Order: sequence, then structure tokens, then C-alpha cells
Amino acid sequence: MSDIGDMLAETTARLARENTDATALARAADEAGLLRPFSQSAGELVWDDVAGLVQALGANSPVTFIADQIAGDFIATQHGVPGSGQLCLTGQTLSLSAAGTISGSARYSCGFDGDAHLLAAASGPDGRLKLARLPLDQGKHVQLDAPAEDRRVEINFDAARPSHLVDLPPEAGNPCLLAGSLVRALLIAGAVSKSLDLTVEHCKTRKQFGRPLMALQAIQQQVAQLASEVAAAAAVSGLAARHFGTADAAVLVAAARVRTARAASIAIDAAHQCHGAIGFTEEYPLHRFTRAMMSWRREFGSERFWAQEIGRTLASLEGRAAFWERAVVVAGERQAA
Amino acid sequence: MHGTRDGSTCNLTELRADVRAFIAAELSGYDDRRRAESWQGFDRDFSRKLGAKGWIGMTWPVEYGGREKSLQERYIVQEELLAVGAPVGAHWVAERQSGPLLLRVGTEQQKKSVLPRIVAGELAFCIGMSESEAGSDLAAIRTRAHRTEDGWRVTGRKLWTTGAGSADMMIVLARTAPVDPEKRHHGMSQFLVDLTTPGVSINPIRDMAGASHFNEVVLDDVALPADALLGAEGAGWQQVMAELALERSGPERFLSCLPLVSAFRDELDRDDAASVEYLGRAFADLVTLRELSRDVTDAFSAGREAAVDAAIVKDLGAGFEQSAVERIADLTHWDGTASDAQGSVPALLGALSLTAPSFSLRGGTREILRGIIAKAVAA
Repeated sequence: MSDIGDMLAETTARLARENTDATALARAADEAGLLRPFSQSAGELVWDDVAGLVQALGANSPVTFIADQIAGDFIATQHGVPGSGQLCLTGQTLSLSAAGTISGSARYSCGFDGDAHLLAAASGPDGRLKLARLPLDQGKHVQLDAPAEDRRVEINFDAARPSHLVDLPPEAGNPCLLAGSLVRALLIAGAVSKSLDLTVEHCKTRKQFGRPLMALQAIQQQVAQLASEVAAAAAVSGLAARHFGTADAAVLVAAARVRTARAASIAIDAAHQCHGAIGFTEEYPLHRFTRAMMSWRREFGSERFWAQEIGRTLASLEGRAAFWERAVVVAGERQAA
Repeated sequence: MHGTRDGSTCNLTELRADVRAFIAAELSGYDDRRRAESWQGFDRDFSRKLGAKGWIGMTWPVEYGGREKSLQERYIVQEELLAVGAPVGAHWVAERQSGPLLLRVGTEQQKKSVLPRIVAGELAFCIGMSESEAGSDLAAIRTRAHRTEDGWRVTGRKLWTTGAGSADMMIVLARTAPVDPEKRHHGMSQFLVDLTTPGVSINPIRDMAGASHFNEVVLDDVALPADALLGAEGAGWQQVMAELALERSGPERFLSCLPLVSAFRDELDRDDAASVEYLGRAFADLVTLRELSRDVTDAFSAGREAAVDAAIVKDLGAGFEQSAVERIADLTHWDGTASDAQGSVPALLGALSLTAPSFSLRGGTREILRGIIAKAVAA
């Protein structure tokens, strides 16, 4: 992570400590310029910097809509759509009529009170993708149940008028799906690291059989697995962030989604086993991160969806060493410091 | 530092292309069952050719035959060789840990006499740590060394010594002071032992895969010269721990099965959704492990300590390798048989399925690694 990234992460962690309420946190983050890092820095900040911010969100305040706002700011900046106001994000592709109206249903996470827009990709009659910015009051809303603490909403559009509609480059895929996926991988990296911190703290202080849980080998084995997943999730989500916006973004985001989904699964299991009953209570903070990860790992494309995306790309390559060559190319070379 | 694909890394891209060209020339038509041996495949000629290219000990000082290249460049050479299952066993241990140990703690005389021969691909090493009563609990070793008028006398039995049957030298960990129950890690020292020394005998141990990579090495009152002592007397434990960090973080800890995954992709039924899905999962695992392993290389390169990160790479890496064998065997409806007519995947599976149980044992068991990781995060 870059030095600016470290700084952004520290600021985010501090704001999250000071603002336990998600709306208050969003307001404080906005005042600190963290909700629109790309548009407000005039291209100075890149994902390598902002990755730390999103990981810090995942580790401190497991709300999704702030991360989606940041991803939305990136997409808006990249495609020349106004980033002002509050942005929500969906991974679903809507349909665009010849008359320029949008129909279909989309799911998004919401925490803003007040006017907000949804960024979505829409497929036209010619099959080409466009990026639409849609006022949320243009659709019918259904509140959804979801594990995460911030709301999940389904919105249904019937010949809605987007406030903005721009062409997307062919073959580049759905930018909302990709950016929303990137932030979910980063959020999980933060949340598994918080789960480890809570678990280590608990196992060092909680005594059973006359000694701290951490002295038990069975517990140590679980803690170690959790720590390994923290390392894996940070590495693969960081890799995807560094290359976001390049031609290899899609395969790396897919890899990050597959690997962080598994990290979330292993981490949830290990953290709760080590905590016992207290981890299952509302009073103790572990559940906030567990519940958030349960949503993040499944929305914007399942583990299986992303694994098949990668698999199809790899299967279509020519040459006997294609699997290896692709793994090397997407990650880039590392120079000696 | 994280590289990008711009001009600053073009020397690395060239190096990678050179290694691939070398592999293409030397290993075309190389047998799949031999590829499955990975870094235990022993071929002195291949090592000599690599040495002639300057790709063994390439980070070492020029005065000892090295090229003073970066650890990142060495990593490229290593991973390209492992990715195709090249037979690197004749120099692997020497290059990975014995040479670096000598560089760190060896005398000038030891470095001058040993390192250039490793660089040339002419000196194979094995690791004399484990014993019958000292596997994971290394401090329980019983091999003893005592001073004589002109050197040392060593007696003991080393066990599970990989590659001793074909190696030239072994670095033996021995007790040079009685065990202090309060300080079990004190009083051990390392010795450089030429395996042709009188009193050394090597008994191969057949493994479940039918190979004899394992050995028992008996040291029967072996007389060693004074300069066989490697590093400081009594500092054996610390030296061994530093060695193990090098042993655990490298790409060999997750690339043993890469020839299998590559062959699986090449022979894939593209209409089989489960196979396509597994291919994607394997790719996600591979790029993650590579990233973690390259982070460790960068840490070593910057002089940072990374023993715990190395343990993480090894534990996750072994899991990836073992699951590759499991998944690919099932996805290809493998019935456990292999023959030349069946193609690469069954041949590789035949060899790798028998060695896979050892992936989470060699170089530190899963349980020991997890103990190390847990203690570090709880500290």
C-alpha cells in the first residue's frame, strides 16, 4: 500500500471510531473528502491509495454504502458522469430501450438519507452496454432481508428516465459490477483482519481449564488459519486494486472475489469457534463483521460465478503454458526496491 | 516495490523470456512423471547447464562465483523452472539454504571452497536436521560432536534426510554441549560434512511412492577437521531457524502441482462447468500465493524478518497443492491408473497423488507451522 493509502486508512479508522452511527460516519467521511476521493483529487489518487481506505472501512465500520459511494465516484469520474450527490451501485445489468428508457430490477445497498442516484450498466437493443445514472425515486422499492446491517433494497424500473446515459467501451464489461466487486473484496480483507484481532484478544483474556484459550493447541490451530486468511485476503484484494483500470482488472477482481469469499468463510468459522457463545451475542462486536461478510461474499456475483468467469477466460487461451503465463502477466513484474 | 509493466521492468521480462527459452530447448518432451518430482528431480547435467547460464547462486557476491543479482530476479528463475517441473534437485537445497547459510556465518575459507562449486551446479547438499526422536521437536536431537586435538568427532543418526543418497555434502546439526532442560535450544552447532568422509554411511528409505528420496545417514565417530564447524559453536538453533525461513517461503511450496494444473487446463473439457469453475479457483489461489510469496521475497530483499509470512505461504501453499490433486482427480474421473497412452493428466496424477500427503509434512508440518503463526499473532 502507498504512503497516501496508509494515511487515508488511518483517517478512516479514526473517523469510524468517532462515529459509531453509519450516517454520521458518512457525513464525517464526506467532510474529510473520503467519499469522493477520485473526483476531488483530480486524478491524483488511484486505487492503490484508496484500497487502504476501503479495507479500513471493512475493519472498523462494516457498512457497505460508503464503499459503494467510493466505487461509484471512481466510475463516474472515469466515464464522465456527474459524481455529485449520493451514489449507489448495482451489479445487475438493466435493459435500455431504443427510446432511451431503462427497465428491469436491481439490488443495491443503501444508507443515505435523502436523494441518491443509482449507477447501473444497461444493455441496449444492439447489445452494447451504457452507463446510466438513475434517480432512485424513478423506481419502485422493495426492502430485502439481508445479513449485513445496512439496508439492501431491490428497485424496479419501468421505462425510467436516466439523468445521464453514456457509452461504455466495448469488451470492458460492466464497470459497476467490477468496481462493486473490488470494494467487496477489500471490505472482506478488512473484516477478516478485524475478526482476527477480536479473536486474538478474546483468546488471550478468556480463561478456561485454568489458562488462557490461546494456550490450547486446538485454538492456536484455528487462530493460525484465520491469520493466514487475513494475509491471503489482503494480498489478493490489494493486487486487484493496484491493477484496477488496466486490461487485467476483470480477471484479478474475479480472483479477488473467489479468494476473499473463501477467506470470509474460513474466518467466520474460525472466529466463532474460538469465541464460543459470546461471539453469537448482539452485545459483542464480532457479529457485525460476520454478518457484513455474509453479504459481501455473495452479492455482486457468487464465488462460483467469478470462478467460472476466470475459468472460461483461461480455457479459451492457446498454448500449453497458458495457465502459468497468464498468472504471471496479470500480476506484473516486481523490481528490487 | 510493486512493478508495473513499463520500461523499468524490461530486464525482468527479458530474464523470464531467457529462462523460458532455455526450458523450451532443454526440456521439450520431458516425461510427465519426472515433472511431478518437481524440485526433488535430480539431474546434475541440468544443474550444470543452469550454472553455466549464471542462474544458480545468482544473488551471491561475484568473488564467490555469484552475479549479485536481486532476489526478485532469482525468484523469476526459480518459479519458471518449478512451473514446468524442471529437475532442479541437484542444486536446490544448496542454492536455497546451504549457500545462504555459508554466506552468512561461514569462514572465508569455507565460502571460497564451497560456494563456487554450488554456483557451477556441481555440489549437492542435504539437510542434516531431523532424527528418529527429533522430527518436529528439533531440539531433541541426539547427534553429538566433541572437540578433539585437531578437529571434531561426530556420532549420531540423521533420519528423513532428503536427497542424501545423491548429495555431496550435508550440514549436520549436532549437540556440542549437554542438554540444559531450561534452555533446550542452547548447545547445538552446525557442521559441514563431506559425505565421502570415512564413518559416514547412507541407507536409503523407500517411500510409499516407490522412490528413495528419504535416507538415514549414520555418522559413526566421524572425524572432521576443525574448520568443519559452521558458524559459532552453540549458535546452531538460531542458524537453523534462519535457514528454515528460506526453506518455507519459496515458490516450491505451491508450484509442485503446477504441471498438473497446466495439463488439466490443456486437456480440459470446456463444456464441463465444474472443471471450468475449478480452473478459476485454482487461478485465484495461484495469484494469491504468488503475491504472498513475492511479498516475502521483497521483505528478505529489504532485510526485514518474515519467518511468519513464510510459514503462511507454506501452509496455504500445501493446501493448494493437495486440493489440486484431489479436485483434478475427481473432475477428470481418474480411476487411479496411468500409462503412456492416457495423456499427461493421469501420468501426473499417478505420481503426485502418492506424494501429496508429504506436502503438508516436509519443511515443517502443518501443525508446527500453525503453531508458529499463532504464537506470532498472539505476541
